[in-house]
Amino acid sequence: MVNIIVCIKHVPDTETRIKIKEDKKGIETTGIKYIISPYDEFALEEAIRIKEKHGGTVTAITMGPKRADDILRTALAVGADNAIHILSENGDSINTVMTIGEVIKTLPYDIILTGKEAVDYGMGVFPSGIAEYLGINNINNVTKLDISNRSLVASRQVEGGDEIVEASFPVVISAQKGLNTPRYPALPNIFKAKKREVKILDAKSISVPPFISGGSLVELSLPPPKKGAKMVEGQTPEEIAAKLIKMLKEEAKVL
Amino acid sequence: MNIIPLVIAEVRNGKMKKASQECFSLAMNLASGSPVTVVIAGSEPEKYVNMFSGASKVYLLNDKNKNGYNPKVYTESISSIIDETKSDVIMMGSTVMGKDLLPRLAVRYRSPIMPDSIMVTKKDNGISIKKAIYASKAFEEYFYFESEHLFISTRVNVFPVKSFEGTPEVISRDLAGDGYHVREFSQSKGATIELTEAMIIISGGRGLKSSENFKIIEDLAQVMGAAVGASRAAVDAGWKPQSYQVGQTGKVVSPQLYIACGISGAIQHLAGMSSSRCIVAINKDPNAPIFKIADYGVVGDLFQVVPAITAEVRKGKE
Ligand SMILES: Cc1cc2nc3c(=O)[nH]c(=O)nc-3n(C[C@H](O)[C@H](O)[C@H](O)COP(=O)(O)OP(=O)(O)OC[C@H]3O[C@@H](n4cnc5c(N)ncnc54)[C@H](O)[C@@H]3O)c2cc1C
Ligand SMILES: Nc1ncnc2c1ncn2[C@@H]1O[C@H](COP(=O)(O)O)[C@@H](O)[C@H]1O
Repeated sequence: MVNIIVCIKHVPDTETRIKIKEDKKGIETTGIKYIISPYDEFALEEAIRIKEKHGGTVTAITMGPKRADDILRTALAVGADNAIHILSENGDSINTVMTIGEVIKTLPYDIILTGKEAVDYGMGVFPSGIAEYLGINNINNVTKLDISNRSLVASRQVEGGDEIVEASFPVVISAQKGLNTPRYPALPNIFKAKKREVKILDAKSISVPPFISGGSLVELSLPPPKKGAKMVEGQTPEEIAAKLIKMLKEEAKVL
Repeated sequence: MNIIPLVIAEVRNGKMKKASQECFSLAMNLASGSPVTVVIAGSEPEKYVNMFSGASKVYLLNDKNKNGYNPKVYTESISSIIDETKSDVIMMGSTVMGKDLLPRLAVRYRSPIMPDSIMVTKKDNGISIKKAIYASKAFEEYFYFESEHLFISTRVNVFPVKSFEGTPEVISRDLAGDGYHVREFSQSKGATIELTEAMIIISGGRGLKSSENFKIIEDLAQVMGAAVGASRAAVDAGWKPQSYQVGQTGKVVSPQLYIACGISGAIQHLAGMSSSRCIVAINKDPNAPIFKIADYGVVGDLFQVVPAITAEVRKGKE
C-alpha cells in the first residue's frame, strides 16, 4: 500500500495570448482558458499507475482560486481517491510550498508527485522546495520510475544523459515529459467526479512560518515586437546558402 | 541586503559548467568589491579553482564516497558555508542541479527566489531582476530590497563570462550520503553538445519526415559546431529522444543562432527558443508562423537548402 500525494496546478492554456493590464502589475484574465499544467498530467497519471500496480490511495491537492476546482474533478475522474482544494489568491512560490507543506504534514505520505515546473511562471521551485520543507529527499526530472519494497529507482534527465537514482520512501518525484502517456477520463467518470467531495481549506487559516517576500513587482512587459523575417532569396539553393551565411557573418554577426 | 554573493559552481561530466562561470562573472559585478565566495560541487573540484580568480574564498565539496549529487546533503553543507561567510545573495546557473538545489536553500532560509533570471541589475538599495514568464510570452521585473537572503539562478548563455584577478583562499569540505544515491549515469547517445549551453542550435521538425533524414541536420550541426534540437512533433514521432525537444515541454534555449528547419513555429515551440539572439527559419510554406519571429527566412525545400548551407560552411572553412 502506497500513500500517494499528487500536487497539480491550474494554469493558463499554453495557447493563451498574454495581455498585460494597464497598470502593468498583472495580466488580463478574462477569456483565458485554464488547464492542468502539462507536467502535472504526467505526475497525476503516474500516481494512478502506482496505485493500480501496488495498491494505495491517491490524494490530489491544488492551491489556487475557486476556478482550480476543475482540475481536482479531472483527478477524481481518472482515479484519485481524495481531493483537497486550498483556496488562495496568493501565488508566491515559497508561501505555496509552506502552505501545501502544512497540509501534507497532516496526511500519510510515501510518494509526493509533482510536475517538474508549472508552465505559468516556470519557477520549478515547488518540487525540491516541498522536499526541503518536509525534510525528505527528492528526485527531479523523472522519466522512469520503478517501485519495490518501500523504495524506488528513478531515471532522471540531466545534462548529457540520464542518472539512475535510488531512494527510499518518503520522497518527492517531479515528472518530466516521457514518464508516461496520460489517459483521458471516461465520460461517466467525469459526471461522477462532479458529485464527489472535495475538501476545501482556506489558505489564510493555515499557519505557516514567517516569510518576507523582500521585494515588489516593478512591472510586467511584453517582448519587443519582431520586425518579421528578412527573406533570403536566390535562383538556386547554393545562391541562397551563400547569401544567408554572408548575412549571418556580416550583418547579424553571429558566425 | 549587503550583496555578499555566494556562487555555487557545478562540475558535470568532467567539465565546469559554463553557466557557473557566467554566474560567477555576474556575482563579481554585483559584489563591486565585497568578498565573493564560490562553492565547487562535483568530482575533482580542486581542478577548477583557477577559473575563479578574484573570488575571496573557494570551497571544495569532496564527494569522497562518490554518492553523486544528493539534494539533502548538498543543502546541509552549503547552508553552513552561507552562514560562515555571511553571504546573502546566493547564485547558481539555472541548470538541472540549479533547479534542484537553489529552491531547497531558499525554502531553508524562507527567503525569496528568482529562478532562470535573464537580467540582474544592482540598484541603489537593492537588486532588480527580470524573468521570462508564461513561456516567454511576457517578462516580469522584480525589485528586491529588504530580504535577509536572496536566491537567484541565471539563464544559461545570457550573462557574459569575464576574467578577474586575485588568488582565493581554498577550503575543503567532505560530504556524506544519506538514503539517496546515484547508481549510474548513462550518457545519451549521439548528442555531444548540451542543448542549453550551445551557441548554435540546428533544429528539425515534422518537415524532416523521418528519423534518417535528421542526418541532414546533423551534418550541418557538425560543420557549424552546433547542437541538434527537435520540435515536439519530431520527438513524439520517435525520430529523436525527449532530451532533444525544444519548447514549453522541452528545453528552453538562448543560443546566438537558432536555425529551425521544417518547423512551423507553434506557440509552444517558440516558448523554448524565442529568446535566441538570431533566428533563421527554413520552411517551404511562406505563411508558416515561424517567419513572424525569425530574423532571417528562407522559403524553400529544406532537403535542398540545408545541404547547400552545409556545403557553403564547409567551403568557408577550407
Ligand atoms: C501542452 C503542449 C505542449 C507542447 N510543447 C511543445 C514543445 O515543447 N515543443 C514543441 O516543438 N512543440 C510543443 N507542442 C506542440 C506544438 O503545438 C506543435 O504541434 C509542434 O511544435 C509542431 O511541430 P513541427 O513544427 O515540427 O510540425 P508542424 O507544425 O507539422 O510543421 C512542420 C513544418 O514543416 C514544413 N515543411 C514540411 N516539409 C518541408 C520541406 N521539405 N522543407 C521545408 N519545410 C517543410 C511545413 O511547411 C510545416 O510548417 C506542445 C503542444 C501542447 C498542446
Ligand atoms: N499552487 C499549487 N498547487 C498545487 N501544486 C502546485 C502549486 N504550485 C506548484 N505546484 C506543483 O509544483 C510543480 C512545480 O511548480 P512551480 O514550482 O510553480 O514551477 C507543479 O507542476 C505542481 O505539481
